Amino acid sequence: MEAIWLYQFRLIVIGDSTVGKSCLIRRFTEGRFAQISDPTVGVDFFSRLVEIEPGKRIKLQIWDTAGQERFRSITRAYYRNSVGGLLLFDITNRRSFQNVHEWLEETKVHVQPYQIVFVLVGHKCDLDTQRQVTRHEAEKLAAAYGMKYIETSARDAINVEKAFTDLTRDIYELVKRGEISIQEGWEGVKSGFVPNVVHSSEEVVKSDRRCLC
Amino acid sequence: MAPGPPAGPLANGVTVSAAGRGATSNEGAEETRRRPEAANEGTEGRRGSKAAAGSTGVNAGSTRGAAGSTEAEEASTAANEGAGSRPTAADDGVRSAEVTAGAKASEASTAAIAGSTEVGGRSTAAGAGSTVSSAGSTAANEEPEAHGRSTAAIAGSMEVGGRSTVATSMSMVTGVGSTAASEEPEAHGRSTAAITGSMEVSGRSTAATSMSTVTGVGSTPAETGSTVASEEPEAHGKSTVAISGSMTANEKPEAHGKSRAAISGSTAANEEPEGHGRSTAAISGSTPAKTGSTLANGESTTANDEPEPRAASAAAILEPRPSEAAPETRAASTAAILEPSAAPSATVSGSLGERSLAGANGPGRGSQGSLGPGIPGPRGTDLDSVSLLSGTLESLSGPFPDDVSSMGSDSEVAAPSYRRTDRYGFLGGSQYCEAPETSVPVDVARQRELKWLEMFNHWDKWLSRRYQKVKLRCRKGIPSSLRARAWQLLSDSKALLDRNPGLFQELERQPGEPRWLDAIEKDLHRQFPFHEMFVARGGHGQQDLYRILKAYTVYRPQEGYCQAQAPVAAVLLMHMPAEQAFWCLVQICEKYLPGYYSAGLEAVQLDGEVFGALLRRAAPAAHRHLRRFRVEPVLYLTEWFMCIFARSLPWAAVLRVWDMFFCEGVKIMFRVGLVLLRQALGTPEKLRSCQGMYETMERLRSVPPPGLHEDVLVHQLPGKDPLAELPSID
Repeated sequence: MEAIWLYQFRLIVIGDSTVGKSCLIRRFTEGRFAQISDPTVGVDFFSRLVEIEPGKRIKLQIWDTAGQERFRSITRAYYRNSVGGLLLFDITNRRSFQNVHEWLEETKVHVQPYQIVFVLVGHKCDLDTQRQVTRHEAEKLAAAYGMKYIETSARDAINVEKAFTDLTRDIYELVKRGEISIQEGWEGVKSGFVPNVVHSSEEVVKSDRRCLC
Repeated sequence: MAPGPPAGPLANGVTVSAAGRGATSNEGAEETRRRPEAANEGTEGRRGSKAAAGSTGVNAGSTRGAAGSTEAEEASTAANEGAGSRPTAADDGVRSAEVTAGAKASEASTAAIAGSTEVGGRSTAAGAGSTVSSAGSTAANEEPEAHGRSTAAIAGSMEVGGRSTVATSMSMVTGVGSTAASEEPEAHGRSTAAITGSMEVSGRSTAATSMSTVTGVGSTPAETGSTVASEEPEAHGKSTVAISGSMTANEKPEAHGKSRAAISGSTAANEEPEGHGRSTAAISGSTPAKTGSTLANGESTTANDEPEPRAASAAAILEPRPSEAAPETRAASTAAILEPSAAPSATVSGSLGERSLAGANGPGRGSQGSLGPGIPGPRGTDLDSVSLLSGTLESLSGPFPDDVSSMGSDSEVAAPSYRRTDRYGFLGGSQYCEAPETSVPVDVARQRELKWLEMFNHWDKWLSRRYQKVKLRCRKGIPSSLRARAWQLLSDSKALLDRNPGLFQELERQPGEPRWLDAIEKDLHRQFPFHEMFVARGGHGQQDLYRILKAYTVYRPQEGYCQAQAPVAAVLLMHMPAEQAFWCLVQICEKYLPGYYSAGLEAVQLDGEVFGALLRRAAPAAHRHLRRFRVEPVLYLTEWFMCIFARSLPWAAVLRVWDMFFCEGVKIMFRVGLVLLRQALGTPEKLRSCQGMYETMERLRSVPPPGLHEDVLVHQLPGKDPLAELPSID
């Protein structure tokens, strides 16, 4: 049977090279952790359903991006059509934290006239002994930009679900309150198939589109 | 733990070898203990193959002995044996070996010298080209363990290359040598195996297969994190294992002579002593990689002409014959060999249809043959070698691919002792290739090699006057033994290297820009982490990768480093030494794909647009579909093009694409891209089944394997130039 979802949100995951973007996404979408993953070349693409309330499901399209700066000319084209974003840094790599600011600037320029709801993610929190960024300063930075902050570990599956579902819930609330609206020609939010509604014949045909999640 | 030789100062040369000998028995015993475990590990059905592989491993080890024999006499013995008909050359080689030995410090390097002696002697005699010498020098430049490695490679090349005067043999050597040279410590065992392979069979891939057993044994310490084996007694002890095992072989002149005989025998079979020794070797090299039965053909052909080679190859393959070897070693090898026959399931395994039939018969027969006190009967041994090899191949389907996810973490990979590579050196991962290659018959392969040799001899003429023919031959696939050389000629990187002697070394000496170095370092362990060459952190493959990527940033400071260059460089390193790979990379970045890796990545984005336009003409339905779901070319094509498909196709197909790419250039990428698109979205049914962006992307990401088979892929390349139809495209 086809998956039924209220909305589809498109999220983008950004951050420096090797902070663990692909690993985090894979943990979330595939439930496994790969010790090594190829450096992402260009953009990659994942998807998963999230149930934010009983019976209310959101389909997430997640864009994984190459971290190296020169790939931004390709990846930045995908900011615009995203409603949410996870901005990752590696808690064991101070430099990646320092670049957070730059990433935000970068997206701000390219997302106009839309906005992206970001969450700041301190990744690799299992490596606490090698920590170079304190939770406190990360929270402070996040607050300064109006973001939430969460620490995750793809290896130990810490907060991975939470990072994505919390962001999804926040976006959902904004959509519900009308602060984010569905717009023609914008892929950030799309409405899906609402349960408990009698399908018109057209919708029945449409329901052929299946989600692979 | 084996008594590890101390870290390698010069004085240790002799001592170490003694230790190596001492270790022989211990290690032998250890192996005896291990092997049954290995066999037990597998399912019943796999037992046979495992055991068979085990014995091959022992064999590989024994060859290692040849390479690893530290003492000068042994080296000279080897050289003499190797030289065979050319004692003078051998003598020279020995002398030079000694000289070099003086210069070199560690036992490993001594070993290397032994190896290079042979090469030197041979190649001089053969009038070998620069390739070999460069291989030799690569070895010389390496760290101790590297020496052992490259030595092995060289030893191998001596057998193969030495035989043939033809310069082509060189390239084969290069291939073997370079691969080996970039290996990790454990890789010693591996490259040794490669040598073994090149001796009797001369197949790098075969070797790769068989050797991995040794790798397993040797690799444990390396896995525990010693980058430089020479600083880690244990690691050395381990490699001693490999060596000790090999001592046996070395102490058996007849065996050695045999394997040489095998080659010369096949030479005879080939009618043209020089060129043929090589080609035979090369061919059989590729053959076993394919199927055991193919090999059987090749071998038996040889055998028909001359009984001796058969025996020889058998001897080589079943090397650990209990003769003067230390009792324990003997026991070990016997055990290993016994294993399959002792376990009836071995025979059963094959007949169960798990893999090739040869595999079924193989282990059992092989063991019997090898158990014979004397030289095994020609016929039996012939079969033996075949079956053993197929057994090894069979073992490729072993448990490893199932748990690859744990690979790559240094802490987790405690003892991947019995993991085996596929014929391309992959230990697992998505590009691991289980199936034996269904490919070109041996005689066809041989013919192709001869044709390529002929082209090499008159390269400029061929390129200028008969380019169409060259192109056709590239489309058919460059023989794997000659691939490295062909790529360098096709890309003209060889000329670039010749014009810039020493420049690579000069670039290496410069410090480089920290931000590039940081970026490169982060990526080193992430390139083909399931390939044996790159599996070990800080291992040889990764070091070479660093060297050439860094050298490029120094060479073109304004370009710097792009992450997509790393997989490209890694593919090159799988085929050739760092310096050659560097110049090849330069050609790819500047001649084939200018601007692809530059700061703005404009070129690849432009090519994305071009591809979109091409698609509109060539596959309108797919094009509409992609537009409908907003799947822009840059989305799926960036990785394809920037990595030249190296991460997107089965490995056999990658190599074929690269063969064509080096010959025809960037348009091959468009064509292959088009084929993939048609495979994925070529029919209305296919389009209907992926309604949505994600589904479409998913489909493009995983084109079903049958469509990616190298022959299918090449076959479907548009015969007519699709780009020519487009007026707007330059």
